[in-house]
Amino acid sequence: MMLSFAWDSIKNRRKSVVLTFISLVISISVLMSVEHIRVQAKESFNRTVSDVDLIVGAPSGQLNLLLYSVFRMGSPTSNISWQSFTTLNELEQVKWAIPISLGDSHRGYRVLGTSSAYFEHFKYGNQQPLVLSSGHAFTTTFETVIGADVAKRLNYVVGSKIIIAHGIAAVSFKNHDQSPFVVSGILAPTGTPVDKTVHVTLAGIEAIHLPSAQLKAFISQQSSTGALRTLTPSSVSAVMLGLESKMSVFTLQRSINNYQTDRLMAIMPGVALAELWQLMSMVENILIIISILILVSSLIGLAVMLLSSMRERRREIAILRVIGASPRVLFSLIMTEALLLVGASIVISLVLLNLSFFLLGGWLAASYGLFIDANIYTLNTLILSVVVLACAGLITLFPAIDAYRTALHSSLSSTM
Amino acid sequence: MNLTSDTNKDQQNELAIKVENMSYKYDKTRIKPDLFIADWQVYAGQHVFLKGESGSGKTTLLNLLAGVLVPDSREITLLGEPFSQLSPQKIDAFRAKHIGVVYQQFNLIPFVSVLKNVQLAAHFGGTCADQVEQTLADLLPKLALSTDCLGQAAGQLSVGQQQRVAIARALINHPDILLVDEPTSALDSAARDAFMQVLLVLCNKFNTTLLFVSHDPHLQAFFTDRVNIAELNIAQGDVI
Repeated sequence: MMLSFAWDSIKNRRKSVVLTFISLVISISVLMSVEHIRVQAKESFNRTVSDVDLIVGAPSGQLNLLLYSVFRMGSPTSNISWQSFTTLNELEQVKWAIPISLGDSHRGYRVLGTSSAYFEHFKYGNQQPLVLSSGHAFTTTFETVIGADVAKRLNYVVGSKIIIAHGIAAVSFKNHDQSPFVVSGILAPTGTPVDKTVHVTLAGIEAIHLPSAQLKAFISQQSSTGALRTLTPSSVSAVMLGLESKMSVFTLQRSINNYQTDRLMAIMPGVALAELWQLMSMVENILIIISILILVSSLIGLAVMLLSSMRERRREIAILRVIGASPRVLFSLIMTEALLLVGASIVISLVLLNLSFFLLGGWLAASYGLFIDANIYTLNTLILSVVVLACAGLITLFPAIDAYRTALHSSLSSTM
Repeated sequence: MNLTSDTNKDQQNELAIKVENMSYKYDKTRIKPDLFIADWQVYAGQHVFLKGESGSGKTTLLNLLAGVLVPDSREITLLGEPFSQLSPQKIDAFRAKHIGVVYQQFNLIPFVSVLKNVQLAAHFGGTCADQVEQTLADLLPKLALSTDCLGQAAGQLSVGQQQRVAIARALINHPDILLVDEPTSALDSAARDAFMQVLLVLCNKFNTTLLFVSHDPHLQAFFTDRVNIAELNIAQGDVI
């Protein structure tokens, strides 16, 4: 009965209620979306690399090593020798090793020289392997596999020819135009820096840096034999290692760091990612603060609406008292109305956000590399909804207590 | 002074309203009360006409009896209960169950239907849905209200209809006491007489004690028990 009366009362004040409802829907939508994007961004960040136990590079700093080897940001201070790579690869604790070589680029996208082990063992997200959306992994020296973003932005398809430039600048004055690479495969989107990477063979990287005459000779030999990896690199930028047992990570890390033949540094990507995220915690905190401010402002709006409605509802409340409604019933009535309004706003906000993320998901991934899950109905959202409802309940205490204390006589006197 | 509305008092031995040394001041800083009643009793089933000039304290007395106002000295007993000494929650519950009030302005909730106005009162009075249906079926023809009007918003009704709905709402819980404050002021004489007849018939039917407040001398003809507020109020001043 009181629920139905609360609904009638809301309908009676529909203009102010609709405005408050719109304000609440907007505020809750912003709050939920900021929170969802924050969580998704964090997840997206943490899913950049998976199943890699150690990353080995030249000593610099674990963040620097992580940034250039995983995020393709910055450059290695120095390389590690090929001999070191083969030694690492042959260690009994090591299950697989992926060499990576950085330093060149293609129209602003980083070029990563690697072996076929990369496509076999590199994983991201929840141990998801790389999948080719078209074509195949490279089988000859001058073939390349490009990330989904590179293909989309530069309109490349399997068979397209690309020229690699020296250095990592978007515009380069030195192009390796004697030896174009042919796109042999395009990777499916991953939401990681892989999407923005041009993957080539280590031999290819080595070849394009040969003196012109030697490169010509190599290309002519290559076209006659079609052989892969006829050139062994002298060094690589870093090595990603997968171990036989996770238990040996610390031991191996210590031994690599104490390796005497070459100066090496081994990092655990999970630890380095956590440290990197800590550095970005300021941004995360700002997002949280923005979310809280949005919530507070919308709840204050709700309280203002309820308090101002109390003035116009004084008579209605007094009539209810006269026909027997106890102050407790009136308290519950105001509380029910507020919670109905906030509850409905939460439901509409969630539906709108789900729809928006579903429709804009492709654009966000393509434009910002943000892979936002359209499914907003998560435990986090549920907790946030309960918090919003609890805060609404708390802030509604003021008008509800006002209703509780409404003096019967003063409210009815104008009509008596 | 012991003023008793005396008709039928031999037959009725249960007191519905008992007021003893009750005082009320609008301005609490004043020493002299605006209303002071030394002793006044109304028996169960009596129909009492409370007359007096405007501002003489009729409505104040009605509000004190309805629990809308709280007396400064708490000496009101209703149906044997020390009404003025009950907690506010208990007063609300008592009013919902035992007292019906009809105001001059009817005080219906305008945006809800006639039926819901009545159902709300029944809900607070603890009357079950079946009984509400039965009582309404009984009341509506007597009040010349069609079932069609039940779905209409109370605010859309004519003054006469609102007045009758206000009575239906006041009687839905079969109250022991009905307090009525100048409900005929907006009616012409024919409508007024018709209303009074219906009201008295219903009060007789439900054996309801009626306290009818009015300054209209024409209405006293409908009552055998008449009390002038000026005789009750020892304070003898303008109240409102």
